[in-house]
Amino acid sequence: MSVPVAAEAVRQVVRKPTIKRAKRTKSQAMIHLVLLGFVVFSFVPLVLTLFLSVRTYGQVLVAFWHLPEPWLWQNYVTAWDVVGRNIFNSLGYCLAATILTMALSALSGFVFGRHRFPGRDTLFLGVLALIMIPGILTLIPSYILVTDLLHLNNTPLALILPWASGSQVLGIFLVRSYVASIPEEIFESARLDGAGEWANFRYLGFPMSWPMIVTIGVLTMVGTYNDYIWPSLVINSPSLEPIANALWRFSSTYTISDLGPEFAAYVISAVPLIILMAFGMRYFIRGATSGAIKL
Amino acid sequence: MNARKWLWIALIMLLGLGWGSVALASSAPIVDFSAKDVIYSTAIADNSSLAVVGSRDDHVYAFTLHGHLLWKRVMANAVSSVAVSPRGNFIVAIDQENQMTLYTRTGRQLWNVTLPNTASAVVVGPKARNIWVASQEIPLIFKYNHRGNNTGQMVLPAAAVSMAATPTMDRWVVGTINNQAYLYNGRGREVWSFSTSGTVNGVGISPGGRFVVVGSQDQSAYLLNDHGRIVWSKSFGNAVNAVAVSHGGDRVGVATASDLLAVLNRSGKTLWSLNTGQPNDAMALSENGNQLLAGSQNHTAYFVNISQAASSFASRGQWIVALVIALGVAVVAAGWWSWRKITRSPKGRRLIYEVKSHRISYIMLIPTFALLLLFNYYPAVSGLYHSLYYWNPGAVSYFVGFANFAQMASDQLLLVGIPHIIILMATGIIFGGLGVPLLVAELMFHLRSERAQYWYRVLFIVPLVIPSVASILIWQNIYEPNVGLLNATLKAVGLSGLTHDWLGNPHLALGALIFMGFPWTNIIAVLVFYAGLLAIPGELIDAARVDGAHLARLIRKIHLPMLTGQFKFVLVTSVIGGLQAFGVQLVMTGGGPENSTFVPGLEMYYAATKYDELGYSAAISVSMFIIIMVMTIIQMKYIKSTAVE
Repeated sequence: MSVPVAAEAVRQVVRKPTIKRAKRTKSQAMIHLVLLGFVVFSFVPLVLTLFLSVRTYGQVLVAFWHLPEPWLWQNYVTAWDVVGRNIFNSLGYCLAATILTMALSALSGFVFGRHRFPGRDTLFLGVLALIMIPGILTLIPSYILVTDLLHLNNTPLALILPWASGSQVLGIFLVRSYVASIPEEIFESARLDGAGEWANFRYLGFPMSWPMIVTIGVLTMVGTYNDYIWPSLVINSPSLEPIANALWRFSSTYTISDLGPEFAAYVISAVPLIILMAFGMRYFIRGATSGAIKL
Repeated sequence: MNARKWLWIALIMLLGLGWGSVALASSAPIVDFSAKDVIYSTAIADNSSLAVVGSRDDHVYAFTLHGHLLWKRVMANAVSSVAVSPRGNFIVAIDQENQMTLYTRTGRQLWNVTLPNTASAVVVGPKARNIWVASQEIPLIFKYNHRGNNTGQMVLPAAAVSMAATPTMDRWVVGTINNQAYLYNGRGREVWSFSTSGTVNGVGISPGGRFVVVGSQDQSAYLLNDHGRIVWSKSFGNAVNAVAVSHGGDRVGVATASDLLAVLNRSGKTLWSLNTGQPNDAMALSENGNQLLAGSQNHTAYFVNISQAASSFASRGQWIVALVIALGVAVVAAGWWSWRKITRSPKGRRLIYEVKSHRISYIMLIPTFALLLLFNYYPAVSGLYHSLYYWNPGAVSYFVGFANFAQMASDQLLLVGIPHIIILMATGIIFGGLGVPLLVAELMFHLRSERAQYWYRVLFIVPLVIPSVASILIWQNIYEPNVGLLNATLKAVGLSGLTHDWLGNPHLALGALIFMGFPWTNIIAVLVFYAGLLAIPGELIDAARVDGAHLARLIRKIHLPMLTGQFKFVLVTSVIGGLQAFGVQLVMTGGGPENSTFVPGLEMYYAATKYDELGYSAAISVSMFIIIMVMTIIQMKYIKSTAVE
């Protein structure tokens, strides 16, 4: 404790306040300038999307930088006709996968974090090892499994089950660390009061690890909503496609004159993520950066 | 302990036994015949009574259907074409000195004539009454009768490379150098024609005339119906040299200039295939499609009983069932034995008690492990296992050793993709992984106002609301030459000379992919670094300041070393993600233009989805898995984490 105090004292003596402050303000302004530059450039695709979503190909071609004349709000109607159904598909698939992931992560994470039973570490290692297996190894064999062996292709289960199965790995890992930090006394006293293992999970473990479970839910939702490679393998029917694949098909099958509606569709497709981020941004941040703690 | 050891030994022995028997069973239905030189041509009589082979070693060989040699006759030069009459009574052979000879079933020479021209193909009708010879150089068919007299000729639209006819010769098909296949009726009137994108090297017609198969230099084989419509087409990655089709189109034989022999069914599913190691020039199928006779430049003629091959693979299935049963019995026996051992020792009894009293824990884990076993473990093992197989789910799969991996060495698309993925990964790490995020994190860290820090974090997250596909498609539009933002900007600032079709130019497309995502403020990495900076003890920084350290020195001597753990995390995840990435190419460029953005992951995806080469696809993914593993281990081992615990 004495070292920082001493350092502070030395600094007080050395500092020439007025010049320093001016210099500091200037450097702060510089930092803001650079950061704002980054913000502006990273917003370019977003702004461009909004900008093009209310125009026609012709308007863009002739006068790129002008405001739309007229503003074509009906582009959104056109886009909704094409991808509206797929938004709901995606919401259904992703919510189902997310809820399943949350439930499995909570349950198994709790068991691994709190229970003592023979073979626990071996089983947990069996889960953890899957983090090391890259998606590229299992992509095609999973596709064969789901289409040729289970015949689940073109059903919601073809997306929900593999998504949930894959997402629970990180979830179990996170919940396990989280519940392991809860003092054992809480569970012990519950046990003394006659609570069984299930009650312990249901009334203590689950509610106490809820923040982490929500984090896993937000991560899973964002991850599955963005996935298009796996759906491209197992869903061929346009009416069953999730939104990501519908956007891809929209852009590849429609002509360039559908430019406006395409961009309107991108805006529509962002709405669920906007809502999710508005409520769950801090959960998302915690989940997405959680891996760094362990390395 | 002892019981477990014995169990393992028993398992390994059983597996070895099963493997060996599988290997034995799968080689049985093929009979090889080695000539002294390349096999140019093969034919099978429609009643399956005779098979004929013509080789560059100047010989005509006659066999039974199953490869038993009946006789051989020598000609003046390499035997370029052979044909056999429908009942197997007459054999026509043509050599490269333009000699055409008619033999009987027993090998007796009936006559020999000199052709006016080099022949490319010959067909022979019932009783050898009609012998038609296609000229290699001029668009003509010369017709001969059973006495060897020229009875006329017929003009074709282009010189023929290949020719096939039904047994009654009421339908016949020629493949020409102008990339067309023509179907004619018995009177020589054209019924239809079919265009490919390369010389039609091989044609075949089913004995009933209902199906025509066309093999082209464009690397594809096409099965056509009697109206000339495509039933299926399939790319083989190399020129198709010879084709044949059985009655009803049930079996289609294909021989390619790579080294593939394959038999497909009417729906285009591969039933059987073989890599011969050399290009294959000849292909014949029996009328019912059960027997195949193919010839290769490796001097070998292959007699393959397709149904037997299939049934031996089926019996291989029985072997596997037997193996599984044997394994099951072994496991039960070993389990029973070890159970007895465990229950007899006090330690074992305690373990059993422990397991029993904790059964709720195991029950609670069942859903997780059921899903993991099915959707994670099974595919991983299946991928590793099938990378050694010609993998054909729902039909015949068979062991090919490391052939799939060997194929990677000659896959130009894959090879050209390797430098691309390295460039994309390296630039991705430099800009989006470490460079910009570190800079942004440092800048944010040096902001005095916590409120401002919070708002920048929020602002950098906002672009994540665009779904990744939409983001890729938006960037595709930014690069679009006519209405794209990039060209519009260049024009607006008076740099019209710099406008390009960014994704259409093979020299620029890869650069465009690198630039995509500019300014690479990868928020996850930013937050990781930012959190790392916040975690550095203030005393350390203050002490350095006291020592007179400037900002640059502070960053170099304190921030960077203290962020090693974060560097490691970002680096490891970027390498893992970067090596297997192909999503952008899949949506944006398809690997083009001119394969300038092709990456290995894309080849894996296309091999499985476009070309039905599942075993090969698995081999690519296994190789990438190994590379990713090795690189991860190296990074984990050699980047020492000095971050505070």
